Amino acid sequence: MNSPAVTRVCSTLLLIGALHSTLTRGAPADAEQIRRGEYVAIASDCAACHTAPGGKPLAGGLPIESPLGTIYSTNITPSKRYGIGNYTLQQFSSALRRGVRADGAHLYPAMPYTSYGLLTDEDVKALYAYFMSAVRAVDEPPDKTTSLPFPYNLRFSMAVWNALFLRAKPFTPDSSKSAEWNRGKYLAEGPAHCGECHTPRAIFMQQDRSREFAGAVLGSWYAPNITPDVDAGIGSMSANELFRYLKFGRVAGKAQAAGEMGLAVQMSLSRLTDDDLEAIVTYVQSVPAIGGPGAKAKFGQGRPFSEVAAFRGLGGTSSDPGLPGGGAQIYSANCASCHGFLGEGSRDRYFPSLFHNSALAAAGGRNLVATILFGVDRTTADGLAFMPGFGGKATDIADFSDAEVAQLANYLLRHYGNADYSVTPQLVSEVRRGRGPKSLLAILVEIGEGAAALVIVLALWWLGRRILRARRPLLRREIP
Amino acid sequence: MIRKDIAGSDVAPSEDIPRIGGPTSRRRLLKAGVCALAVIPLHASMLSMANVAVARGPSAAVSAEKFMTASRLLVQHRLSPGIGARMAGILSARVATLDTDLDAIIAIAKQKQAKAVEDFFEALPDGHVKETAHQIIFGWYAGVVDDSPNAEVFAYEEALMYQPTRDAIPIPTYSLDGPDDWTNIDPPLAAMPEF
Repeated sequence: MNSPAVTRVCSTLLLIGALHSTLTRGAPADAEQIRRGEYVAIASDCAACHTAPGGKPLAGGLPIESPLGTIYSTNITPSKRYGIGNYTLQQFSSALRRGVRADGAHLYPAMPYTSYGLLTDEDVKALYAYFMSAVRAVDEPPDKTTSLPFPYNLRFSMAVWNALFLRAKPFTPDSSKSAEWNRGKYLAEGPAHCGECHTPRAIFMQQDRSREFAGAVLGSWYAPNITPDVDAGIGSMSANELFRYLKFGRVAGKAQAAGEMGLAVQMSLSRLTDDDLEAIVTYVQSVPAIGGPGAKAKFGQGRPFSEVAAFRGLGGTSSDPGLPGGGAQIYSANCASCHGFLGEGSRDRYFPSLFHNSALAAAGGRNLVATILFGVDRTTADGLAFMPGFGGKATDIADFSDAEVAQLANYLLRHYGNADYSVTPQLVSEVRRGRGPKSLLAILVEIGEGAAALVIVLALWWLGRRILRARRPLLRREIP
Repeated sequence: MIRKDIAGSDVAPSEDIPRIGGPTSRRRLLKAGVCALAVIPLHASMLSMANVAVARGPSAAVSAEKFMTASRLLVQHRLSPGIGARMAGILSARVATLDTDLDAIIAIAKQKQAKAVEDFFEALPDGHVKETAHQIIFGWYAGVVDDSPNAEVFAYEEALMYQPTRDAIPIPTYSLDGPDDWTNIDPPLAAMPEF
């Protein structure tokens, strides 16, 4: 071996040694790493759940309705008393990717750690650096903490759940696919955790991976099918349209983000780089298409329509149920001034058209009902998209009853949306309360509790009889 | 290359939306202008006509189909059958001769092989036939059949008087664009909306 080669090997070894000592000592977070961590935090949309509306950033307290009860998000600022200030990188990683807190207790999977399990070590380190050095500590406890009813309050049961359903392996790229596709898969399944809402859940509330992105009910809203199926999914949208949807929260004339997706776009997706959004689109377009029996094209239903000629001038236009016109009257009095008397929307598309709109042609009209009740409030680089709610909240423009919302929604579905759909006041009430249908698990547990109660009652009754029988002779003897 | 066309495409009209503000030939513009001008003197004489109409008394409800046939001969625009049915009901209650007037209007237009109202209007006999014809045209434009304070409104957003300017002036209470949008497209004057 000649001397320059020896020098090279030696210097490389020295370099490795130096690197190794830096790594083991825990390198101080540099600005670049913190920036990267902040980006990962945005992509992971931590703030969507850990920042309550009107609350301090990342200080927790947001109620999350789950089919098993209400879960409150926690303080994840570096507060040593109330937050994660004492977490080591290892503990941080464990909470994030395995759902285990520093004290060893298990998190509920409302925290999407099954998705965050895919985060790479590098991203976790960057995220840790960001949380510890750049997030302001909030030394206050959240207003409320989670306390689920029995048996879900047994957090150790999550250990079994994790053993069954947690794939806690950091993402490994598929070398047969492009770098863009791999980046898209990493983002969509990892930090951006699309599947947490869009993938239906199986009996134990785990994601049903055989139906990835096929759509699922989530509280008041329905996270639609985003597989490439042409009718049931988003196969009829171009890559450009999907990109614009993620960036601005709408594709004029087809779809708009509201509810949880409105927030996801506003707080997370619209703040990602264009390259990352394109990567997500590339990946989402590549998953297997999942249709539904008798699915109708969700961007192709309805047509311009008005019934106003039948009642114009007859007793004025208002939402008074005594006036003629039914749902058409409610529409004319409350919706038409923005969405147009034919449902065509405004000229500049600020107010979307109602026909060809997926909110009226997917999932039985659930998102239509939710939009009527809660409105839309989303801000992106495109500006503010706002629709007031009609559900009687303090800032709402009207207070429709469940029956009125159902009447209006059915009129809209019949003419502008999927005419096969029909909503009931019961559904409106369910959406208003933010409850999805009860999970099968919860129903089974209730049956189980009922059965257990019955066994206890029967046992007590049997025991009671035994005691009475045993005492009867005694009683008789006492009577003279 | 999906980044192209991010902002621009949102305002582009699509085939799905009824076009508001396509180009129109000068001839069409002139014709529409003549129609609009015809309404002004009509409107001025409406009060006296309304009284006459009331005096003429009710007739049996006419066939909505016949009313639409006559209307399409008198007004060369897209007419809503729903509004036609409302106006036919209102006029039936006021014009005793409505049914025979409609027959006369249809027969004379057919005889003249009319393609537009100008081809046969002069040939209508003065008196109740011509008055009925005027009243029908007025109704399609104004959304009422007379300007009395208690006239029944049967058309508003689809009344023809709003249509020539609907690309520039919103129909009251309806929004043309999103909120606070004062700097939008000025539609060219020569291209009148088709309706």
